[in-house]
Amino acid sequence: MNTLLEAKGVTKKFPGVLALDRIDFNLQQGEVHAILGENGAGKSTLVKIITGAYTKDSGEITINGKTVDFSSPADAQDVGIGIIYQEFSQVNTLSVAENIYLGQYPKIMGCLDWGKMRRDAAELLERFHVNAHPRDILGTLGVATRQMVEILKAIHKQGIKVLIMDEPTSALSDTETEMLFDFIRKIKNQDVSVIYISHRLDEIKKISDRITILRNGKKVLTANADEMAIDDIVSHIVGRDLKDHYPDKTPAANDEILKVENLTGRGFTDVTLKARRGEILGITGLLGAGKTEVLQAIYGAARGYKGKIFIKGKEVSIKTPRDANHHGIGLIPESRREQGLVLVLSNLFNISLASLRKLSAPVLRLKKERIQGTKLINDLDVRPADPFKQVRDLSGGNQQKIVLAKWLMRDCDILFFDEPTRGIDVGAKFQIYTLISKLAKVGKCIVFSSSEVEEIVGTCNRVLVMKDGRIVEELIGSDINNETIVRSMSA
Amino acid sequence: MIIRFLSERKQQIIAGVSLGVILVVLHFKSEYFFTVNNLYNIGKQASIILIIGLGMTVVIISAGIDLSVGSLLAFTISGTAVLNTVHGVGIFTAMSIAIIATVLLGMLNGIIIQYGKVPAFIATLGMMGVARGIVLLISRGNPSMSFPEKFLWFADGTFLTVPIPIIASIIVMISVGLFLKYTSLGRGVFALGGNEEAARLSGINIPLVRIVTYAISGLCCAIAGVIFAARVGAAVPSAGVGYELSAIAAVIIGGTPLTGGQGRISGTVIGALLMAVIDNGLNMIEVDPYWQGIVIGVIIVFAVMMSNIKKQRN
Repeated sequence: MNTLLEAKGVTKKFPGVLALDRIDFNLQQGEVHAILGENGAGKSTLVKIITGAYTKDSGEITINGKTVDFSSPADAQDVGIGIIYQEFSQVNTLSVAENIYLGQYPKIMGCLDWGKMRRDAAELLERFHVNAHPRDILGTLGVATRQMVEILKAIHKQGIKVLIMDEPTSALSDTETEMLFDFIRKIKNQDVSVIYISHRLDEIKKISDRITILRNGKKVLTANADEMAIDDIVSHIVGRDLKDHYPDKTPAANDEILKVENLTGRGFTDVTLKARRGEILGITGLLGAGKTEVLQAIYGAARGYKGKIFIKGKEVSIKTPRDANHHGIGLIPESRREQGLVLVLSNLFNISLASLRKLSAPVLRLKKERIQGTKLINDLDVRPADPFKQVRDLSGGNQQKIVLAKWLMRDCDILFFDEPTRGIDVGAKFQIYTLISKLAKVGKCIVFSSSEVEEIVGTCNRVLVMKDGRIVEELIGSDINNETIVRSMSA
Repeated sequence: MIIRFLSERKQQIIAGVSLGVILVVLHFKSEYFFTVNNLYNIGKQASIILIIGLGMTVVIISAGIDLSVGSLLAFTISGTAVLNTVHGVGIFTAMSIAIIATVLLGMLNGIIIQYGKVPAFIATLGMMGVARGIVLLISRGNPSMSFPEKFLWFADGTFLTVPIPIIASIIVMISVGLFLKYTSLGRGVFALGGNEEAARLSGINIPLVRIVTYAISGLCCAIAGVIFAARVGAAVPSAGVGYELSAIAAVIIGGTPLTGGQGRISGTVIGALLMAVIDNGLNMIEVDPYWQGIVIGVIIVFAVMMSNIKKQRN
């Protein structure tokens, strides 16, 4: 085997952070090489440099021994480096053949050569054992098959030699995952190399030839996958240097406010949990473990679940978000822009959105609204502190504060945070943790769902670990550490 | 503060200034244009599209559309006439019943959109056909039903010398304005139009807001229908054909985007007046009336072009 791609001493700095510190990495022809590490370890920065989305500050990348210097993703594609995104660039209403040849249709005298297109597509599907017909409409096929079609397109169209797959199995069932792995083994045999990124360590063991582990921007090691036990991998990923930036944890009161018994619904099974005033209850697990679904069900945002919900000891029926609000529950949803905010409205109107009834007597008290809203904006340190600015002009962290302010104006006792720090910068993240901790201190009950283990460990009094829709582990006090959590969520 | 006030109303200001320029030009072109009588005429002419347009503004802020307005207007007119002339119901009772029935049809639009998961464009397109069909059915055999003298007050009467249609427009304008600014339902309309999912997760009662939105549009059609009926003096089954486009045009010229979550009543008022002034003015200076459509069409496209070019720069 010969080395296809090699990175030597690659370094990348962002303001205030050394994202990659002299990373060495090499990729052999026809191998599957997994890159592992926690969020923020530098995986995606490294991948973005390899695909040309970022430029490196120093270091060297060679392909087949020749030095390359990408300034855009198009440059990387030209030499055969492609990435498969989670959202595929496909047209679901067209057929498989049309999708594979999208934009580069075979032609006969200026017209589409349908016959050749279908024959070639059939041949390609056959060669890689993809269970689809060229005439199948893409949207009617399963996610795994669509993913394979996307990969075939990349291989055929751009002559891809290096394929980067980022959490390709997060939306797949077990059988589909097996199908995809068979497919990956086939493209390997065609001398395509794969850089594979995933949090699922059992899969990594199954599909990769070698693994490279990154931590805090540094390379820990590169080794053959079959020489390492999962436990070794975990301790290398986590390391020992836990950060002390998190706010102090305060003990929870013994005042149970939320209880859920045997809740079952789409994406989760038999979930039982309790939460107290002043407590920060963490729920963690991999993408698709059912965290969001549980929160949405308790909140009344998703229909059709079985089980019992008790608030302050009384059984309640929550069918809509309105019911949840009425019982004092507020939700800071997973996707802030799609579910949390009305982007065209002002900060003030977004903050008061859940408190309109409280503000009407019977007409809206605009002055009261303005005074209360401005106070929250100042308390939460939203910048710029302008109640009349459209919320879409704010940065991610400040937008998240507006969503939080909405529930503080409503005066909710129970706050669900679903991935509250996703896509916001490090400084704002720690502001959010501090806010969450302050809210717990004044007696709010916080349920904090996140797939970032680090922040769960740093902030929560108690942690529930979910896997495949079930709670598999409950950790309290000193038992809450990265190692235990990572092991039980990937086991 | 002032800069924000102006920049938030940029499109309304553009439309207002255009209106002013046209008024000045017409003043110099025709000595009869700037007379109290003619201005009242313009106001009366504008009132029907203005009132429908105000309801349409609420619907469009909620990111919906109501294509059934012209048919609903005709429904009020023919309903009143049939109850009055065929069934012998007193004219004002007949009118009240027809208005309530029209509001119910508006609510039905909202119910179908909300619970039937039918896009607003299609649901109201259906209602447009159904309501017009009912109008033709109930007025079959009674081609021209005329209204009693006292009913015509709604078009010809005055209050402190101001014609009733203008008074009615002002009342509707203020009511809709207050609704949007000072009620939680009104705020809900903006939230629904801006991001339905976020509004739902914030505890806004989406079904209620949506149904009220289309009911308001229905009520506006009914009020406009009464004025139309009194002006014409008879129930014409083809009343209001094409009004949906004029009403949408007034809203768009006034700077309310079709994407929802934003919009101003003042803009729609300027939009409706602008169309009436062009209509009236072109008549005054004896331009071929066919030019009207061309001028208004150009203004609509121009108004939206201005706002979109501005947006891209941002």
